[in-house]
Amino acid sequence: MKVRLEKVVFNYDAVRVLDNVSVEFEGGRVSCLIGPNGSGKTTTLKLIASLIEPVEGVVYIDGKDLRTYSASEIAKLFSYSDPHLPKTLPMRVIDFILTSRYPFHRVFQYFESREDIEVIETVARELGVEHLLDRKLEQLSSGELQRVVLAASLARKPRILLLDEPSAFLDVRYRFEIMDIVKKYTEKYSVVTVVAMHDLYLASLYCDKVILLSKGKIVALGNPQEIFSSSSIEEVYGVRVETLRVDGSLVAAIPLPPHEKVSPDSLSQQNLKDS
Amino acid sequence: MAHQIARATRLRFFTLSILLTFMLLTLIAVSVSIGASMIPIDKVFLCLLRVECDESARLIVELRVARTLAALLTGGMLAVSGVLVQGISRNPLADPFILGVSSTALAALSAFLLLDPTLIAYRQLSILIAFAGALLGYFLTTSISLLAGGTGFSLILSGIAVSALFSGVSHVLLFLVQDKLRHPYVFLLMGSTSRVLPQDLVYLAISLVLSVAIVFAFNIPKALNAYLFGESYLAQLGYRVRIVATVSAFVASLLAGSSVAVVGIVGFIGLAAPHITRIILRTSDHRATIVLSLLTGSSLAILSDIVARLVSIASARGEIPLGVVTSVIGAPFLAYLVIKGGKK
Repeated sequence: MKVRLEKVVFNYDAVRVLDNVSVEFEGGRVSCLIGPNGSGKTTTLKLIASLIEPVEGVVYIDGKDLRTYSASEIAKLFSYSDPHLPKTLPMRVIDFILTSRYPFHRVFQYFESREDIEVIETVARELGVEHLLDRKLEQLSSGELQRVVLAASLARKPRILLLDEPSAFLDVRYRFEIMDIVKKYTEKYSVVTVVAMHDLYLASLYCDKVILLSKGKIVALGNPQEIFSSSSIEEVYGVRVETLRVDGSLVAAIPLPPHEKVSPDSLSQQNLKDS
Repeated sequence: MAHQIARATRLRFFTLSILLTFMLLTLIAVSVSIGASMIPIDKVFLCLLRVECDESARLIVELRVARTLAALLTGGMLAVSGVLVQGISRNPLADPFILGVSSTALAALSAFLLLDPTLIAYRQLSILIAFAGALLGYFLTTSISLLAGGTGFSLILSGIAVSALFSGVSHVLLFLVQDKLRHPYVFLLMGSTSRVLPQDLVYLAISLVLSVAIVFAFNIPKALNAYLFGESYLAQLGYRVRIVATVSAFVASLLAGSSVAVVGIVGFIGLAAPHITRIILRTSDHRATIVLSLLTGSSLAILSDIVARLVSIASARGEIPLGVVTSVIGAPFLAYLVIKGGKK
């Protein structure tokens, strides 16, 4: 499985959000989109999920134009998980995850099949949300919700997994756990996984390929070692990035504040001047 | 774990269906036993079961049955309409009455009555006109709401504006045409089952059956489940958002319109029935709520109708409209929902 964007342009209300983006995502590898807010990460994910259509350029799935796929084919192929779930009417976690099985139902099928429940059972156990299945969505903490959203994504058995900030509200242990699960799933089923990420440290540890976006353009592209030790990342974010070599080949990126070291003295003087 | 929950959910659904059906049957039995003319209850049931029946008893029982069935059908229709509009607006406060759909349906009907007062006798035509009015009302409310930013509160506020305007318009129009109507026009404004004839029931039944058939043919319950999590989520699952939203709005308007054309405006059942159903079911899974809301809505309407009749009998001043009773019961319920929603 392979996803390729070719010279893709997208405008949002006459503002160019993506400008001539060409990139390829391979199966079995976790590709990460990084870049500051508004650099076009989410837009790229939505374009691949065919939730929006490019103004110019083409998205190819295995060499076939995405526009030639039918809605039900797309539904079985992709899963794009949006971190913002509306929760106006009460639904339980199991009801929510069940909706992601609908693309596999027959046309007039009304009730879930045994297989649906089995899939949910397995996915829920893997993500440690088994005990939450009977709870209402609005009763979950944001970290729990994040895991439930990923569970719903995986319950669709997608060939192309698109994740928008899967670790945003999680504590450090679950950040690692959720990325471990994503990575394992990606390699086991050779899925094309594209993750939009803010956490550079996590990106450096888990991504096989990093795409650095800035103002709708690809600034740099490569493996984490190359990207995080290049100067482009510091220019785009306007912060310093140090890299640490851990476990031999693994590189951990540590972002640092852009200015000189903050000393307690300078802070207190600043406060005095203000007051 | 997932298996146990799925099993428990199914069990809950079936138990509730049975309990609610039992409650509905009890309410029907009570409803046919109560009336201004004091005929003994055993006589009523002997008559119903066709054991023995004299002419006067037969007429009375027939009217009571017609009235009970009218309440049953109206309640079910409004409840399903409520489930649909709450689903497509993702708004727990929506209901055909609050969104102004019932008022525009009546305004359309009243406008045509002014042109030709005999229209009220042609049920098919009045249902079609009320349906068109309801559709226009839905369109108007959602358009105003979109102009106001498309939030949950803008929808309710524009609904209230549309509802107030067209209730007023209907009132004026019906006031002008009242001499030519057979019944006091208040019964259309506030809804009443007291003047419903057995032949009218057929039209209510047809539109309810048709609506439910459309809902299942398009598998709307499942689509609404996914729609709760956003339009793009629904689109992702391979559904066409436009079709789901249009069909739901269409059916909700048909249900509200036809109930208005025959019974008049009955408020709050479309709001209360889906909520009560959700509370006892513990989820908004539309596959179950649509079915159970039919039962809760019918029960609520028959209960309100019984109350309306008891008040009339006790006061001996003639019939009190059904819509008055549902408002008195329903408005506090709305207040409760607002308080609960505001706290979140």
